[in-house]
Amino acid sequence: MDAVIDAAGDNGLAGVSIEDVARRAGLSRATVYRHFQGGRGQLVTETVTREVARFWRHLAEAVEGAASLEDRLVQGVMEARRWIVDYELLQRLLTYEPELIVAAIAESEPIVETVVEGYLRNLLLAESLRPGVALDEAASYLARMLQSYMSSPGRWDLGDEATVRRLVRTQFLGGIVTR
Amino acid sequence: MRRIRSYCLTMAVDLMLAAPRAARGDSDAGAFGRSPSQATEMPAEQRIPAALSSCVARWGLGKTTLDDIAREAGCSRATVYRCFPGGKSAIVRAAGAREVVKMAIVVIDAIDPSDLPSVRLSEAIVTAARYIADHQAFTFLLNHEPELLRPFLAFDRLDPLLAMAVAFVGPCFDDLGPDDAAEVVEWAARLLVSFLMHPSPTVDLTSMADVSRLVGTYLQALLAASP
Repeated sequence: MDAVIDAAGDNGLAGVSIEDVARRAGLSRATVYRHFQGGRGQLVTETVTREVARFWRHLAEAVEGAASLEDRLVQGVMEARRWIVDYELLQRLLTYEPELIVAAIAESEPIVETVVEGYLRNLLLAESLRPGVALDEAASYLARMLQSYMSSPGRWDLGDEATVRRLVRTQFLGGIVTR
Repeated sequence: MRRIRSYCLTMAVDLMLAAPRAARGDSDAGAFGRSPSQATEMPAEQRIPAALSSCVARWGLGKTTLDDIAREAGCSRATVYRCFPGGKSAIVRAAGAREVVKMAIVVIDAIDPSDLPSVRLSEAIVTAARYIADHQAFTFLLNHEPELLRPFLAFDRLDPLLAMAVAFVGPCFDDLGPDDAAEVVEWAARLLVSFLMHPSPTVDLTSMADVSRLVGTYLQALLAASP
């Protein structure tokens, strides 16, 4: 999979071939095919999925020391956005091959959604929720907001902590937790 | 981005001048109530994206060729190339922008300025959701070619669409002040896209009851209902 990243860096996702990947990994084509019977498509998808998992793991680690739910979300939004902007290969693929990279990322979306919602749900369990707020729906809502903002900041400067704090206090948590 | 913006403004003016009140009903018929690709009063720059939408509604984006578009728009391939040297992908971007503008006009029309902000926002979301549900081209893409739709609604491609929503619908929330107006409209657009691409079994954005509850719950910090 490291070889796939390497190859994609040089030739783009569409330019990734089993032969090239095998050569870069110092393996035979047969070995690669044995591990990825779905061929090129499976190789690319699973590599992207690995990167997506790496992103969320990194994010969870980055916010581990947060003092409050609000802090955790503020740091999470900022770090997520920073990671995405700084990931040079991702940005290049989004510019030149958006269909391919977006489709590959979409493959892991259902699993990611479940994991992220579960994580947020656990955090909300420790909070004092506003009356009438359904825990599962609130967790789903936060996951949607996080996903939306980190990918597409819109009119928000997610590099500015005061701005992100206001966003989190109003749109994320304003209707969910009591202050 | 600036080209798309000026294109949208030109188109919005044309569409609004031709029909003071946007027609409800068949969204593909356009604001004039007849097939826009046959309305020869429209310049080719608008007939061509309209023609693309018509083709997509019938057989999807993947199978639509420049010949199909030219035929539907009632012009030559040469004209198509002249108006859109970027080819099919340029026409797709223009068609997408055009559809967003058309939807924005319908949404603005549905908002009752005398209602509370939370009611206005709910009305806007429900109207947009229903418009999308009735939109044949969009529905075809969503059901049969989501991989062609997704890139236009992901990452930095979504930002200009959010900006367009704010530009068109934001003024309907002027009473909140320009910043809060932009925030709530952008929020609504994000919600729409999120539920479109990742539907929830428990939330129906075409239902006023469901949307009012979402708006009333999650945006209360911004829209504290005042008497």
